Amino acid sequence: MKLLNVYRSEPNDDTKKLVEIVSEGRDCESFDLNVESPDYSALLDKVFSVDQTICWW
Amino acid sequence: MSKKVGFLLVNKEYTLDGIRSTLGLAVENMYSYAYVMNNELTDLSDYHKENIEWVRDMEGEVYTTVDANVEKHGMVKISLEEIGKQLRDLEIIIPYGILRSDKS
Repeated sequence: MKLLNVYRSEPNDDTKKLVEIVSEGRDCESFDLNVESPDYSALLDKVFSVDQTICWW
Repeated sequence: MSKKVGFLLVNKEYTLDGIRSTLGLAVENMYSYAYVMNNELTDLSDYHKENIEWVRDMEGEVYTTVDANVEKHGMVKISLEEIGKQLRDLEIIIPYGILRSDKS
């Protein structure tokens, strides 16, 4: 099970806790959209390479 | 095949809309769950009360981490840790609504 966590903003404590539980024992990657120029091409590649993507707030 | 979907609702402004979306996917034959997190809902209209009842009729549920929502609106209490465990079994997870106050 490959999981991609995408962050729109800096994760708060609740988000960090949920990500920790959901990600436990799984092959996880993350992608931060909260940067000046996100590499959307790289994001697409990641989305198509995993089983599940969660786009957090 | 029916999918299992969960809406994480942290923004009060979007919570009722998120519950309506939960119902929308339930009537599309998905197992649909709403998680009202860290925000207390004030009085609900009959329309929104019916939406919650319909979610249950469609084998979904509206959970909340807030005691007041349990007492006032009959939502099912759940902890953050329990939400995390349930999310592991869902195929689609939707953190719904914009969290940032500037809404940009």
